[in-house]
Amino acid sequence: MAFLLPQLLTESVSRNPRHQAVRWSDQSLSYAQLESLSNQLARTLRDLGIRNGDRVGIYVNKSIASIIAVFAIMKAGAAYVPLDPKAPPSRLGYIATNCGIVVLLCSAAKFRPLAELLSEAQGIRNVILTDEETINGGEFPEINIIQWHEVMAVSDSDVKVTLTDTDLAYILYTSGSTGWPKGVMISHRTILTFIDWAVEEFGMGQADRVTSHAPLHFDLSTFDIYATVKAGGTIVLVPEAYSLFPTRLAALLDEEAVTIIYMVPSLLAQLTSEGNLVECNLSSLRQVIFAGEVFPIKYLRKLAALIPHANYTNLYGPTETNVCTYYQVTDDDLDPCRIEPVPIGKACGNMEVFIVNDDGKKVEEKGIKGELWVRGNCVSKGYWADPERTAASFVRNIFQPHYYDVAYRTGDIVFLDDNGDYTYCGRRDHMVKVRGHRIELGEIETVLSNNPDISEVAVIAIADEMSGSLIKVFITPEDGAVLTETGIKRYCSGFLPRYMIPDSIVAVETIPKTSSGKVDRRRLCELG
Amino acid sequence: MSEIENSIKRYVEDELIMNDQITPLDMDYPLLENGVIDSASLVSLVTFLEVQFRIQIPGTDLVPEHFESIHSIADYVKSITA
Repeated sequence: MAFLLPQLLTESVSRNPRHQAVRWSDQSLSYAQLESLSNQLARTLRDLGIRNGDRVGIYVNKSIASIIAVFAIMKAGAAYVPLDPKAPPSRLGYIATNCGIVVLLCSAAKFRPLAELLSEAQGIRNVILTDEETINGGEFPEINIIQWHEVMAVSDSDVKVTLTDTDLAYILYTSGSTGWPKGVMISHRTILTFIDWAVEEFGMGQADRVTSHAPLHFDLSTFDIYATVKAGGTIVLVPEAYSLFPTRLAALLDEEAVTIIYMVPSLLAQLTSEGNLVECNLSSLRQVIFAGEVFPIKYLRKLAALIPHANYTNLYGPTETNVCTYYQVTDDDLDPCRIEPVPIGKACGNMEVFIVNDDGKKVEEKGIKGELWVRGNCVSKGYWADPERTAASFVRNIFQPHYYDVAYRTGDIVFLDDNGDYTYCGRRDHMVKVRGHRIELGEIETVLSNNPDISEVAVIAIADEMSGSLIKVFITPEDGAVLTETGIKRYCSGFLPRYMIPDSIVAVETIPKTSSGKVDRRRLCELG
Repeated sequence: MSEIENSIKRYVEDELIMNDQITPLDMDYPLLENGVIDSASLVSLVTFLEVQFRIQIPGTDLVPEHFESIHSIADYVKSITA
């Protein structure tokens, strides 16, 4: 029984080596090929000095190469750190320095922005190129550049992996309210707790063809890759541009006879309204899974009417625990009179969740709100090099007096409904979701307040059906400063990933405050 | 470079590009692959094209091939206005 993610691959190889493991347009790799290529890349990493526990960055757009990369890095004993290909170099440089990345996997397409990234992340000494295109490394004299053909010359025999399941598989950086992201440390055991449950819950097997749309730095990607590989199925990579062109995405689901999709609700909503699904043959699609944000019931209803033979499941869980609850949508839920979204459901197998109120007591009665806490091996190891923030959210489980047990405080407010399902109410802080992405409003505020031309700033989120939230910024300029909406957006893009760039910016004379001197967000929301 | 290509290039550079490192834009620079065009900016780009060139872009023409680069967008606009 696999206790490390790379073993999922090895087990599937032995069962069915020639079965397609991953597809990208007309290219594909069999399980045997994926194993062989990841062995070669793993050996290359070890030859560069990578040892158990090291961190290796991945700076590659979603591609077959990215799938080879994740398995290779883990086989070498390291944790992979996916760098958002659309984030600015300053942010990626921070991440690379924060967790001490010394080797970076990079595609030729990312080579131009690489120069900026390398100047921000001085610790990176080695770059391995993942395309067959050769690059002239002359512009980087201090960096050792390994071309892909050199990787192909290395032995592809099996690599001995000496990790335990408590070692890190990867680190995912998420928005941090102080202005810089925090790295969630996920061990093999943490993620396998979810993967083992998911493969069984969705009855996954070799016949499954699962789309992989989420980028590597987003935790949804772990289901696409690892649940599919464990089941021995086929990963169908979705080009990132397809999320902009729903008809293209729908056509892909048809052509590839996809059986399972796992996407954020905003993408499913777009697929439903603009994907022209009626023209597609989606008879193979048996399971639609959504997570990451609330799915407005009217779009879910419409989608279920277009694809009535599929099962619909809502998954919930922060990056810190991956998925921890699930809810199977029933026909009753799709009643035309229903206006609330579906519940987040019940704890997954081998995971526990419970509600704690402001007095620190467990809430067991129905209908009473409180914060959702999670315990079990699905809870990750905390935030990289940040003991303070780790201690604040990964707390001692006070309800287990006999031994040290960790619980994660989600910050989500929920209550138990009459059916024993947990229902989401909101946050206790200023975290919002935009297209499934987590955004701490404080992060945007911090970045803006560092701008010398801005005196004061407040950021609010306005609920939006399609994207989840629209980010609205109120600023007061410094005396004499001239600010334009474009100028401010450009400034933000130097520090924040695209999805955090504000949607609208309003200059005001003063930011309204409450009597205690805090920003009066309610008043700002009213200003509209 | 034709007038169509010029005005598209100017719009993309002024409104969609956040990073001055890549301007002036190459006509074949991959806009989609590099995230210059994303879900938010696609809407504004389509609106700009419809207003600027007095065309109607049907939903079925919203495909990646028409938006890959300034060159692709210009070719598409030319094919509609022809």
